[in-house]
Amino acid sequence: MTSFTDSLIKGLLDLGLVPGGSAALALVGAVIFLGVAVFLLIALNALIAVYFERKVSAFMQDRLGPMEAGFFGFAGGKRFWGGIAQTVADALKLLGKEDIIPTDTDRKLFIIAPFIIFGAAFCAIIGIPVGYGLVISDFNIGIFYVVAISSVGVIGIILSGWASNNKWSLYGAMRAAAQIISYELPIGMSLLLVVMVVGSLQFHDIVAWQETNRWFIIHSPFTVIAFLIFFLSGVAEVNRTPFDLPESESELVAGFMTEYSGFRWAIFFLSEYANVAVVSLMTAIVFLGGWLSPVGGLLRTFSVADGWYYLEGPWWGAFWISVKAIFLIFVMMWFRWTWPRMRVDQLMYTAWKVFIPFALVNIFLVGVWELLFA
Amino acid sequence: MSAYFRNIGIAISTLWDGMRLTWKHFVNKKELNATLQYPHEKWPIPERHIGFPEASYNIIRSRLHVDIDNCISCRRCERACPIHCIKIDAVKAPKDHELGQTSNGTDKKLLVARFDIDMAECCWCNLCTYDCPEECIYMVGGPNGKKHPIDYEFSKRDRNDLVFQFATASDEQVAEISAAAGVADPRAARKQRRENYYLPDGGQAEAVDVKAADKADKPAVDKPKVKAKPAEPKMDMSALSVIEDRVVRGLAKKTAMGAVRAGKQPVEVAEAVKAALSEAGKLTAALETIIGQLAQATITQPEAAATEKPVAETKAAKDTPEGEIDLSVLDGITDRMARGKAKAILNRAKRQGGPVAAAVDEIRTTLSGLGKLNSEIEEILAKLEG
Ligand code: SF4
Ligand code: SF4
Repeated sequence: MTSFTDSLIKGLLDLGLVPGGSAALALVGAVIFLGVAVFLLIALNALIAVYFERKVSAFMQDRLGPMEAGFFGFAGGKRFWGGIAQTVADALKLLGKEDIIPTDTDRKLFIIAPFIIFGAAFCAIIGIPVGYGLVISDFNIGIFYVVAISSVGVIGIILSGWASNNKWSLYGAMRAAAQIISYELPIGMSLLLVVMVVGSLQFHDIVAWQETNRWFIIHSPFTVIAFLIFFLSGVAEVNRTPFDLPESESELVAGFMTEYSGFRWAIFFLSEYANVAVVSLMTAIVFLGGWLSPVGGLLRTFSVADGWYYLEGPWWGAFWISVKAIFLIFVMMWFRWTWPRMRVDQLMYTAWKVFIPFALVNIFLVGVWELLFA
Repeated sequence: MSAYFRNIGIAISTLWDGMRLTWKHFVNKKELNATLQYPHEKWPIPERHIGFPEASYNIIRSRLHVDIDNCISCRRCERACPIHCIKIDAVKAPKDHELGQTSNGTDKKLLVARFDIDMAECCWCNLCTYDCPEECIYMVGGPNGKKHPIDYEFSKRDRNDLVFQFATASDEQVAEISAAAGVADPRAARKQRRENYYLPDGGQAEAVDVKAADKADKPAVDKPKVKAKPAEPKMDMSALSVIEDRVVRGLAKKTAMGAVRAGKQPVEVAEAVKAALSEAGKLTAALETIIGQLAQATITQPEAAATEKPVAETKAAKDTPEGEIDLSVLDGITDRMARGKAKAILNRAKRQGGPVAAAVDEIRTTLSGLGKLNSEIEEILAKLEG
């Protein structure tokens, strides 16, 4: 399987752009290039997602959302694209803000905490394919890698809460720790059943299985439940409403982010939306057929006809996976602007008494299903 | 166990209910949207109908408007404004330049070159409108709604746009009339000042003092620094000071002073005072004798040289350290009242540059009239003369 890194190294070497043709130098060049690209992608993702979220929330609350800021003739007013430059303006404002580090903080930890969170999100994106071969690094333990590395973010959250030397932040950090540890389990278990069926941890293999068989969400009645558990636990992992206890504005001000401002706070924001994208992409790949076209998928599922595959291929694949991921992001926003925040005990109840038992039973039932029908 | 599943069922159904509700709002934003995008859309202004005719409504403190065609540039509004947010420049048109009439039929004699109202400063006291003889400055809307519709918002992006400029005269007209009248064109002068103040690259010139330029812009009138008091004849009225009744004393002194100013002789002055007092029904035998003394008093005619002395010179005289008059000599007088009187007289003499001897004489007569003259004072006065 080729990945962006491989093709980039190969391209650099073939074009003779690397002095001495050293493979190590080519690797360094490729890594730097892709790192910058991923960073820009994350920033762009946050800009668009924030605008999207503000619009979605506004429409759900009978408002209009940002309507005035615009550029290139797209100046606000009563158009539907009104306020399209709002998040750009907000980002510039954030970058222009004073960088405040409160006196009694643990300076070093306070400074590195946001970057740990961001680093976790960044690393998770590296392992996620957005089309056949469109991946920065194709791990053969892809699922395991992404789940593991995205949990590292919680260290950053705990550090930021601790280093802030603020009771709200500390509460937020403790809640985040409890929450993320709890919700790791249902996530792992719902993924486990997929891995069990496919027999591989590699994203490409999982999608290939769905291509030859069917999407996992309709694999069996139990995988629908697994899908719901995975997606909801994913929402909890990225600390979004109704699971946003670590940063609940109304009780904890902003939880672990209370003391952060300006650029550092922007880093938190970037990672939050990067994580949202990671969870959506994961769900899309594992349960919704990844980059497979729904058209071809449906046709194959019901064995209607073969040969309707013109909507497939790597770039169409990128399109389809984006559609699925954006739909899931929209659903997350829909959750956020509908459901009230949970209480801490309800949060624990949901994880330990509902999601985990159901996920465990699911694994067993899917095993039985596979024995009977595969 | 069944409670557990029921719980999950209720959770799912209520969550789903909520999502259905928000979805309904999400897709139905045309109908349900509650936002009014203010600068782009506005509510209609509700009509006022409270059962009175329009004209009897109270004034609405909305925004000032000037019907500039009716303005005669009398500047009453400018003067009435307690915070000076009205600025008017006017040019008096020469006889052969007709500016027309206002709707009230008043001839317009001044061309309004500038009529700016800074609504950012205005405190809506409405005082300017009462003074206008032509009723051409008013708050819009309300009872004035027929003249100008209400403007309650006039929100602007730039604060400078809140300076409303009402003058409609063209630059050429202002220039022409100023030239014909032989005065500086106020509008061109203002423009010039701005150009002088701001360098072409947007910087600010250091050398130009705007305030000074502003002043220079005004017609230069050489005003005397100190207003010379009109020279008046003076009369020693200390005789009247013994009158005990306050009202009578005041009346007597006032009458006497008026008579002196009118250039009457002492005898005539005394007559006038007597007449005034008898008219008031206050004349008694004792008073008549006191007033009789007045006839003997002298009237000092003002010395022309003293009053016309230029200010600078008097100043210089004051500045000489060993002047002819040293007030501190009088500090030796123990009686407070006598000391005050003496100092006041001497001071006046000093200011007018009069001779010391005359002043000392005056002090003497004054104090003796008050019955305050004693040997101690005599000694001091003698020292002053010597
Ligand atoms: S309303 Fe009052 S403050 Fe405003 S311009 Fe008139 S006099 Fe001045
Ligand atoms: S008081 Fe009236 S007529 Fe006089 S300058 Fe003001 S607006 Fe013009």
